Amino acid sequence: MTLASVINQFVSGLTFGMVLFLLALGLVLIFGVMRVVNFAHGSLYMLGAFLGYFVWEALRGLALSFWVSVLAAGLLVAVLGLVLELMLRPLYEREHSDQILFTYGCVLIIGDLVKMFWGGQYRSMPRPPGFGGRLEVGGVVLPTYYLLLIGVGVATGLGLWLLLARTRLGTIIRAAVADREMVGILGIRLPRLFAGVFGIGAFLAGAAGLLAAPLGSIGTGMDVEIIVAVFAVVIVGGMGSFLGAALASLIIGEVYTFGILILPQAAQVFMFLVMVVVLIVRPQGLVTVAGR
Amino acid sequence: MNPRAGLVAAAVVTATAALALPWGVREYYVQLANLFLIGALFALSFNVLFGYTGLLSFGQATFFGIGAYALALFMKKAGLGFAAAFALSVPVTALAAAVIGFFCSRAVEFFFSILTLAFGQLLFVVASKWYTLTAGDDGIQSVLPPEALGSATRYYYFSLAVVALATAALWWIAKSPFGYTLQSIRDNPQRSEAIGIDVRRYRWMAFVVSGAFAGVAGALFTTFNWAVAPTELEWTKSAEPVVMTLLGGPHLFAGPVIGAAIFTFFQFYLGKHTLYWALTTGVVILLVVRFMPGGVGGYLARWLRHAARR
Amino acid sequence: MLLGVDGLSKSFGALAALSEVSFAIAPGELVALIGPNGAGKSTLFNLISGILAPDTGAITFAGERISSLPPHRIAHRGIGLAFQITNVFARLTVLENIQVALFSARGRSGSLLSFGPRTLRGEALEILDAIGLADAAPVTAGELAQADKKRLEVGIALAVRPRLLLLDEPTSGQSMEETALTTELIRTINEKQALTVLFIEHKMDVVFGIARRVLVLHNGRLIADGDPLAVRSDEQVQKAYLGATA
Repeated sequence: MTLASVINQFVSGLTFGMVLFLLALGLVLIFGVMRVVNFAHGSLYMLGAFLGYFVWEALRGLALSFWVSVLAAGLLVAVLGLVLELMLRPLYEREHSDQILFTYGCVLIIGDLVKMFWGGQYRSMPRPPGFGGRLEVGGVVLPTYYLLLIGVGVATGLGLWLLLARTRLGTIIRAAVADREMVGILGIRLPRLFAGVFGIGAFLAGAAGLLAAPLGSIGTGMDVEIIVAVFAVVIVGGMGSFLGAALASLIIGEVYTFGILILPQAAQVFMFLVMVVVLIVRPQGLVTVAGR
Repeated sequence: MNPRAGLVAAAVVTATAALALPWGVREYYVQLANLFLIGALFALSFNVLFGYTGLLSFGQATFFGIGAYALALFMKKAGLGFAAAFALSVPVTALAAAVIGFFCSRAVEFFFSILTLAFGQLLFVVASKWYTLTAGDDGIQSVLPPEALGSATRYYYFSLAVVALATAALWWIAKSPFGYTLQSIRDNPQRSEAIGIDVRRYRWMAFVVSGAFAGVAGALFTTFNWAVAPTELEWTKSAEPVVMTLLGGPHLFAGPVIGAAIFTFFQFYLGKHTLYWALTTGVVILLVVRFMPGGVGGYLARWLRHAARR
Repeated sequence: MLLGVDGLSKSFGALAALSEVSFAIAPGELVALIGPNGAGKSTLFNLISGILAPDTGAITFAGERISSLPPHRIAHRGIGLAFQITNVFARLTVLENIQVALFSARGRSGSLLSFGPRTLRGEALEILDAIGLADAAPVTAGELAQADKKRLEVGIALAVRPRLLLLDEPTSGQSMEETALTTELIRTINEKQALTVLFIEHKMDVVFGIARRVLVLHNGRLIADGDPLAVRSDEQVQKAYLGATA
């Protein structure tokens, strides 16, 4: 294997890592504020891919149709996220297992509905105009779409960081992640906060679904496939920090992508190895928030 | 009515009905009853973790599948007889549960659920891709029970005996000091630790027990079905004991059995009309969690307590 | 010496919960641990019972170092802990709460060889008798009144058959009558069973009624250690409680 092909592989690992990062962000955000693990996050991702695809098909030929459909995927899924949050509300006072079971039930339902309406055939999404080519630098071939996705991931990360660090909502979210009772005491309207957070998380998942579509294909079963990878991310990175999620996304993305070179049939195995090592060495994840 | 006498009467009626069933109904219903028995044991094994230890597993099919594959492989690849293969597939499943449980029992709450789902998916991928061993997506075909268990009725009696024995064993475990210890961990792990219980180790032991009994159910399934395929390891299969247990009630020993009965009944009625079984399962989970926490068993337990007070 | 605490420190981030705390407790003593809120009393208990690990310093029990052991090992060495916030097994019955602790004390937690409801039942009932909960034996623990949960909490700690009993505010939430019963119970345990007791308490009449020695924590430091009378008249202690600044 030449250095150039290693770099190639590294960049596609980074790209996949960015997709995982967009999902992990939402998962950590929702968990941090609401203490709910959204098992249906992968289902939202799959829905984003399908819904966005249909929007794109309807707008076919229009300039910017790809970008409009990314936005549409995010927004449509965000609306669904708000509905889910509304249905989840009566369960906040219950045991954690009830909330987990609720989102788990949603995985089953969404998975089957997608199969019912759009199952059977795989759909493929071309790269958006302007990003179909490659960049060649000294034998290293980089698809420009990969670079674009990496850019989107970094921009989202920075945007979220700004939101958390500079805005009132961000302050509230950070306070909630650190100590949920505090926020209640501060007189913040929790229902609105929860809905907002769930909406943002769902938006990111939906948009990620369509953004990732040109990398592979859109089909049933992508929900569970991606959620297992995202779970590997949160196990490696912990649920308590965005930095951990970022770092772990990149690690899992790279491990998975290089794993394909070694064992194309079952690259997931390597992801599990990382997970298992982390579980033995640091059961609380790679990055832990001080004082917790 | 005296609740204890009522329970005994119910048990006697159930046992008589179970034994007499093949004389009264068509073969199709005998098969259905057999499916119920396997489901009931599967759900009971899940509830060792959920109802008794407080751990929600989304990967119970992993061990159902390992038991199912172990039996098939012992018979088809190793050329063992049914009895030997059956007897061996249980310790093999327990061993697998010990390895996977070693990692899963390091996590609690949602992390445990995440890990069990993830490991289940790993095993599913292995089973569907490792053609030389498992024949991949096609599965292992024509794994027949021995001549003596060749008819639906005979296999039903075999299942009935195995499931009855396994249920009795699980009941005894639940009522033993070990079972009490697990329940204490379910209620309050921190307190358990403070009275000298090595919580992680006991969670691990519960995982192995749960996995082993799921393996028995899986092994029973293989020769019932005459074949085993990766769908037996799929995560939607893991949803079955979850929905059965929720329906029947996790806080009653017999809850999962009641739930399995309801589930099998639904499967019979809806199965013919719909391919979308996961959808139904998901909707039932949502409804039960929201409107009927405690399941049917919850009502039953309340009624029994009420009757006992009178 | 039964319990030795030597130079114990623990910080949470920038907050020093305990700094350089040292003391020793001899077998058979009945010691009260007092101090204003946030003084570090519960932190000290959590360190002794292994729920938290100290930053520096060592804890020895019966001559052996215990400060790196997990909580369940420490419990087996003979330290019973009753929590401040009641921490009973909510879905088990009162009797079963005690039985589970007894199973652990006898090394039978993993036993499959006996029928749980009948195992060590007599002994469990004796403990319930001692803590005044015999009538509540078949009640689900989660349904008990707060004061009774507190009593059950002490019963669970006793069932571990400890040599040292740590009680975190055993009378909190109890009425005057109940407090008197609990106080009497602690005294009896200490005298009749020769059990060493270290307890955290806010009610001063309880402290000065039964303790033969009082430790005072203030801002994470041990500011007084001695017999109740001496401690009561200690200048530093008065300052800590009255908040008087010179």
